[in-house]
Amino acid sequence: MKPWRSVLLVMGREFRARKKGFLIVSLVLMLLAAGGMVIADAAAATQGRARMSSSEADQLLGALSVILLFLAIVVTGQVIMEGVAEEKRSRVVEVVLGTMHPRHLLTGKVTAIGLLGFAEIVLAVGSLLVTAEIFDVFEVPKGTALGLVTVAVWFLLGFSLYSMVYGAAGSLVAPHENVANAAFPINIVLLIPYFVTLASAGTGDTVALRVLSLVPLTAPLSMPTRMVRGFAAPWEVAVSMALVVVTTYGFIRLAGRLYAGAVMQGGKVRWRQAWRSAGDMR
Amino acid sequence: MLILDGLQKRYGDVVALDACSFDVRPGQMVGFLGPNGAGKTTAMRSVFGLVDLDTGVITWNGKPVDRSTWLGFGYMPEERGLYPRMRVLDQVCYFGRLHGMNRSDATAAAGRLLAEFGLEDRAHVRLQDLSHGNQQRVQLTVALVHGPRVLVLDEPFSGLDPVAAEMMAAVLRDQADNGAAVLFSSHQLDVVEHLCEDVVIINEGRVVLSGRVDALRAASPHRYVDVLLDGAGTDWAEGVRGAEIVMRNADRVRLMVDRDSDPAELVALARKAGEIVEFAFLPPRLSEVFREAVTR
Repeated sequence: MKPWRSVLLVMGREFRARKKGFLIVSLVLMLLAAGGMVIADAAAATQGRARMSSSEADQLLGALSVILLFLAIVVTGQVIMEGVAEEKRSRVVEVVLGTMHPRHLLTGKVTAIGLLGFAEIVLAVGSLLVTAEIFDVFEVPKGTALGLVTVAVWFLLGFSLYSMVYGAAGSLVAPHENVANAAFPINIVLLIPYFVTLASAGTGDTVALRVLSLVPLTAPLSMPTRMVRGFAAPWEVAVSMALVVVTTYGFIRLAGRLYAGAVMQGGKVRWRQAWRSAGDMR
Repeated sequence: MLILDGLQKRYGDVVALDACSFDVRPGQMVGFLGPNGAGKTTAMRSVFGLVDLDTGVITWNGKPVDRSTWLGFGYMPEERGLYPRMRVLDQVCYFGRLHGMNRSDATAAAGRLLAEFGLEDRAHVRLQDLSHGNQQRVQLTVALVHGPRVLVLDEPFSGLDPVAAEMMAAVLRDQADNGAAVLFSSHQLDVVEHLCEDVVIINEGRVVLSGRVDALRAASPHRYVDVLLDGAGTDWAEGVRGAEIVMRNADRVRLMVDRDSDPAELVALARKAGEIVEFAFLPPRLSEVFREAVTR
């Protein structure tokens, strides 16, 4: 059987299993986003509308994208880890791995959960923008619309990368362990670009920000701001994106291998142990 | 033919498999026996590439097994596991499709098997809402849905009540009669003795005995003598030369003697002690063959 067919089957199962939860979460998020805009509109009616300059709008977009992406990655990451750990916990994985490579199982699972998480954000932000447009809550300067596209692209990149990172970590969780413990180190890594990038919202380009925007694990949070505000040179963007894509693929391979090594052992597995026991699993 | 050839696997200092070799032919049902920790599960997992073997190769019809071969195999792991919240029919159908079936074939096969196992009215129930016995049946259905040519089952009889065990035995027999190569491990030696013509016994990762059950029993250097005397007790047996008392209970005694012993002599000895109600001179049971093999 072709690998893509296995991946699609796994994705299909995830979608069906998560359909209900997805609908509820999306609906709640969309209502919250739209409600927020309605309230903002009511406030604007009494206090007068704020009109932003283009650079102010870019600054705001940069900061907001960091916060939103950070929250989305961390929350979806938990769900991914739980999903990966669940399969190990129920031991069903031994039967599934008789039919496909661990890498393909993980890719399908992580992609499906990641896509659902991504769709929730898109729906929430979409609902916010549409409501804001209807009530004319704020006006987006023309240049900022391009910035929105930039942010969306980085959103997708960052989401893919971290989905795989959380997937790899989830494969190491012991059957009865809380996934939050295993997520902690990853969340800490994410906090660094989060704070550095937010701190730079009021200032210009800094060396720290520049470095973080080139390192694959921090680039998704740091590069969008630099791009939106015109700090990033084209070669920096290209290098940064390429590194993120390569790293994402690397994590698929790594996670697949760790999963293969960890899944066949009952309890908690250390990274090195999993790596070794996987060997060159076929 | 499924051939496991020279499998070798170490976990640190522990040798799980040590030059373990045997084969299973289509239509053959092989009982895979061994004490706990003998390497049965490791050997069965390695059939599906779930163990990174140090050396050794597993072939099916002359070719080393790979992912495409495995799609035609069915597997029931030792630690049972399915998706707890998935509905029964969806679940079986999903595994059929993972094994390469299209949706309609998988649905049809799943429905047919579930009906056969008396689960048709549970088809739309979540797995976690089924009784333990019914969950086991679903697990078996998952292993069979794609009509596997090779069936590997790790302890399929553990935790089954006698009725369920009988059904499992009938299903396995049926699979073998239809040409599948069936390999299963078990500790229930009585079941194996009645169900399989062939067994493989491993100990400490090595095959210590394999072949036809009857041939293995006949080849044993010992014979067993069951005698029931009417009201004469069992003390008479202590005087029988060259015999070891295996079991004694009221008037019934089981002796182990040399293969070459003359049954007529033993009958004469017993008759001297009392009136014979029962007398049998038999090769060892499979459980005795097993014990001799793994304590050698």
